[in-house]
Amino acid sequence: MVLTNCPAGGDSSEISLDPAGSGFLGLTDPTHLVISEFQYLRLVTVTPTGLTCESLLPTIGAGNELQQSNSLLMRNM
Amino acid sequence: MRPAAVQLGQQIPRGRCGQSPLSWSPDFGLSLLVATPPSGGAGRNHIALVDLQARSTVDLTEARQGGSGFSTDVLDDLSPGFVSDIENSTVSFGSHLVLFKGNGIPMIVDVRSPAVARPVDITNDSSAVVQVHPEYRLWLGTSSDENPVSPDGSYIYYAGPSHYCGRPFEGHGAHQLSGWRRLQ
Repeated sequence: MVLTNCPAGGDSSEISLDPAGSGFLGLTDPTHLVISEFQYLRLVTVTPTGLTCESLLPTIGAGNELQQSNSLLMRNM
Repeated sequence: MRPAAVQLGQQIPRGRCGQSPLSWSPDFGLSLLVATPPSGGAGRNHIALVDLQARSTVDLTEARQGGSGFSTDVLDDLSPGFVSDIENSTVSFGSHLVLFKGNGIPMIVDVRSPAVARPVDITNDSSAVVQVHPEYRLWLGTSSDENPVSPDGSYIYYAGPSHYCGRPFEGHGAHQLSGWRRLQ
């Protein structure tokens, strides 16, 4: 699956979601998931008509990229 | 015809130190992401706080790196055993506090000042309570406290000679994530 509507701010306009790769981080709730793109995190929202993509800012610090895992905690604070 | 609403799924987290929650917490406002760095750092974990409403992130890794270049381990269910409502989770946190392990010492980061980490004073003294989430207090217990199931159905989880557990404050049942039993 390829998202093509992520806003500017990332390294590319397309993000490949590969559960076995580095892009997928996990679900936050039944309608959202977070994916990583190097230092950028994206919030993908499932809507009745499709998927929307938003950038989460600011970016993650260099070297602190969240990759290669699907650990996502869902505890509110 | 209007398409049906799509659901990505609903993975109910299961407790190791507490009961399985009956539902998602009603508040998804803040979530914590834990993942390994892109290269090296095997066994390490980077973490970031995501504010879904603000569409923003707080990078919590820097405070945990301690100059090593990679973040230190986070507390988890196995080492040394930490309260969590998600099986095999790697970190847990309170109202503003993320706890992790730095040089074998429980450390804490306040997400309101994420650049600074400080050690957590947890001892075998049950009075050494760490105030975290308003529902929970976490502390270190001993194996002599073992009482796996309390009358109210809550659990105590042991991971080795010591463990961390907590209990909800009475009268506060808003989230129903778990029922931690206080160790006496």
